[in-house]
Amino acid sequence: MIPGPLLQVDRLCKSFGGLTAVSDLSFEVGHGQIKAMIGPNGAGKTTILNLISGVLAPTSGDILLQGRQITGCGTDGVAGQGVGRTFQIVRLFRELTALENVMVGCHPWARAGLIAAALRFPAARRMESRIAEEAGRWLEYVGLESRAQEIAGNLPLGDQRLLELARSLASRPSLLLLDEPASGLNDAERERFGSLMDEVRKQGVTMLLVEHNMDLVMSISDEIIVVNYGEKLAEGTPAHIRSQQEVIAAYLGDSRA
Amino acid sequence: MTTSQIVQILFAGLTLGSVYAMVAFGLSLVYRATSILNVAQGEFSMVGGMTAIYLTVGIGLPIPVAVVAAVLFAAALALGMERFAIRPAAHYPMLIVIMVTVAVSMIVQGLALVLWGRDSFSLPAFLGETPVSVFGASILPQAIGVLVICIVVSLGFWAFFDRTMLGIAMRASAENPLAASLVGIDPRRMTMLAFVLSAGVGAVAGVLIAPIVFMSFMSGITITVKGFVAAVVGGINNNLGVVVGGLTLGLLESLAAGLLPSLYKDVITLGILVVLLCLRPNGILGAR
Amino acid sequence: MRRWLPLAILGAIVALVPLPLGESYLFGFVVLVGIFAIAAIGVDLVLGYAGQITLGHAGFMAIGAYTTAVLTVRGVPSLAAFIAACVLTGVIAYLVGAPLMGVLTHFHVAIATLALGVLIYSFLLVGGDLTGGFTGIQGVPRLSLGGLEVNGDLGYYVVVWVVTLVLYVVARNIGDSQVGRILRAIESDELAAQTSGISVARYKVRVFVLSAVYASIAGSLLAHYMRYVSPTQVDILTSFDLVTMTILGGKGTVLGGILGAAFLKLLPQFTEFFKDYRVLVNGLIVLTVLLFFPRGIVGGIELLATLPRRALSLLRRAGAREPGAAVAGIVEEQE
Repeated sequence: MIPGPLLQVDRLCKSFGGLTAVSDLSFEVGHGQIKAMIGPNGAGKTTILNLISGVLAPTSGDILLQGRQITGCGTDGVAGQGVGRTFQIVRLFRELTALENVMVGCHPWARAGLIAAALRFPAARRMESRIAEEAGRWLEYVGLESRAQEIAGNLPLGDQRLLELARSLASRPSLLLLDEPASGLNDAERERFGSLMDEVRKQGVTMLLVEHNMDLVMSISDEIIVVNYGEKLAEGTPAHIRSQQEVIAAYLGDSRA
Repeated sequence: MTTSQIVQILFAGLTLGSVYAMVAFGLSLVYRATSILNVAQGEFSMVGGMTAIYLTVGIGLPIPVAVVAAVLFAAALALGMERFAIRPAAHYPMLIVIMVTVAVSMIVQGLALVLWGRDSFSLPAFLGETPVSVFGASILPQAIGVLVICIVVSLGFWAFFDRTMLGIAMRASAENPLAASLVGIDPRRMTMLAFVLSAGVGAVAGVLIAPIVFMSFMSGITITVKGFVAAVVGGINNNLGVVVGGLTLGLLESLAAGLLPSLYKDVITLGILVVLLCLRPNGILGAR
Repeated sequence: MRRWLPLAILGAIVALVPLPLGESYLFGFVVLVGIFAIAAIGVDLVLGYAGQITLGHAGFMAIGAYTTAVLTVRGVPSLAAFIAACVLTGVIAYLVGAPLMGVLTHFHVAIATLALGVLIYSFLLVGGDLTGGFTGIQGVPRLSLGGLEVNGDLGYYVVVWVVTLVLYVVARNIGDSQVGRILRAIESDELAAQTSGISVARYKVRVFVLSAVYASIAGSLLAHYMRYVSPTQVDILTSFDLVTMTILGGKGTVLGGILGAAFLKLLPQFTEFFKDYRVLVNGLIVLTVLLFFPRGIVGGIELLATLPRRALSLLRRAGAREPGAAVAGIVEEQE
């Protein structure tokens, strides 16, 4: 276990005009941890993910990855630093095949030069086969190897979520942000996803996930952070949060235990 | 420069600018109603102008009849465009939809080429032949008429989108077609209406500009570009912005034409557009 | 080895065409097909792969053609002029493209490229002594490669088509590589591409500049072949022609650029009445292809290529008497 947190969010604020979406939020995620962010709809959870992954720029506050500032780096910059991300509504390259989707995901470590590609330098060709190989392995990892040549847009939702996971893993991230990965999945698919996440954690990838499904959250998280109106309400282990459940349920009106 | 020269340039600029503003209104209307930016917008103006010229100069119909016919013809084209090009492409990605409007623009140009050939034509000024004297400059009533019409159209647009049920329905349909349809608004009808209205406005603009420039089957392209400049400069979501943008462009062009040989004016204004797009893509007044 | 098949077939056709056509007036048009194919392939990289609408690409041809003309008329050797043209075009494309591709929507790009095309055309008209205004520049010297002058239709045919095929291979290499995949990903979902660490703006600009250089090369060749340059060669209608060629041939296929150019340049020769209907028909073709045949001519060829297999399995199924055999036939087809 590497000491110190992988991700530090420090007094993060985001306002849109007059509306404050995130207010003075601070938390940490340790190396190899799975941390879940829960809270009612509209609590600002996706906004927080957007801030961390660089889709939005914060109004104030800092975001540090391994002690380095990633605030204001832009989406591709943050991704280049080792942050992967999946979306609430699956975002895939629908016209490309499943394999091609994952191959694109390899980009952060597989820089593609225009000239080298144009002239098919041996280095470029070797990189191509390395990309194809690794992409194939990630497809196998999530169990989609039989679908490699299928057009991504034609896959069922469960497979699409797995494909998105494979694509973000292919970038070899140190931190993976997952936005409601279980949304729209049935029980069996959700369990499969959960055990996959366990596998991924064993590989040393840290995860921060936003999720509504309490079964998944309780079974897989090391720590949970409860967010409402862009503010942190509570933070702790699942057991701790569960014990606070009555308070939270009263506050949030959520009676799912 | 003498006062009368300045006034001359001013009026020319405002006239031109009003026409550009109207074209930009057409672009804005379709965009706000459907999120589509219509590359063929200028063709409606071209068709309006050319039809009016053909009916007046060619056949000898009285001007009011020709104008009405021109507007109706453009509206009919827009109906055809919506029905046979836009609607089939409804669920395609935006790239394809824009390419579809480019294709329609080619079709309309091709139609004009077949109907009227490659020559350029002009329309005699129809809002009065005798010039009026303003500050020593000789101004055609045409120019004043155009300004008045532009103001009327602007007010009309503002009133439409903000005050009438239909206008609000159109904006709703653009934001969220599904929700709109659930409250009884038919997005397809809204789209059709948007295209027809923008064609109408465009045709009027074309008729108004016909006495000032020489029109040919290719005029639509520059009109589209200039309408877009007006929208970009002012901000396409913003009624006031569109007017400001159009007038600014018109004045700039008029100034350039006044100081330099007229061939350079296109180079100047287009050069400004390209620079502007590169520096301030969101326009001066509006977002997006 | 399958990836070399189109090139091999293409190469064979190119090698054989002079035999029947060498003396006919059509031969000149085949040279033009090669030239415009280069520009169309460039457009395909930008439009078909990266999904950026470019409506003024003939403007880049113009820069290439006029730079070559202006320099060679004054005695500059062809190759030097050629390189200068490419550099100039690339720089202009970069200056315009860099701010453009960073922030703007499809429509902005479409109109800006349209405006650029019109701007360049207008500039040619007012260029006075430099560009020769409406009449252009006459007396462009023949292309000379290291002292050897290229002469006659056959000579230009060879030179042009060698260049075309080489540039075709280069474009295919890009399209089939990770870069090509990234471009298609950018067209598909920019945000998802950025999440994979892709600097979308940078890739768009690079492919835009590359495609401009392609057009410039085509323009320079055009200047040498036609021995003159004029604004009508490279006006907005030509820009629209290029887009038509790309879409008609099949966008995103590279080969489509060549097929589209062939179709658009050769067909009018067989249908004389086309003259004034050209623009109208092109528009209708583009609309129909966009709505109903997304992969254009190439898609049609691919469809034809699968026909034998489909016919065979159909026959097999029709021949089956028992349900079991029919099912077995269908299952076999799924393999």
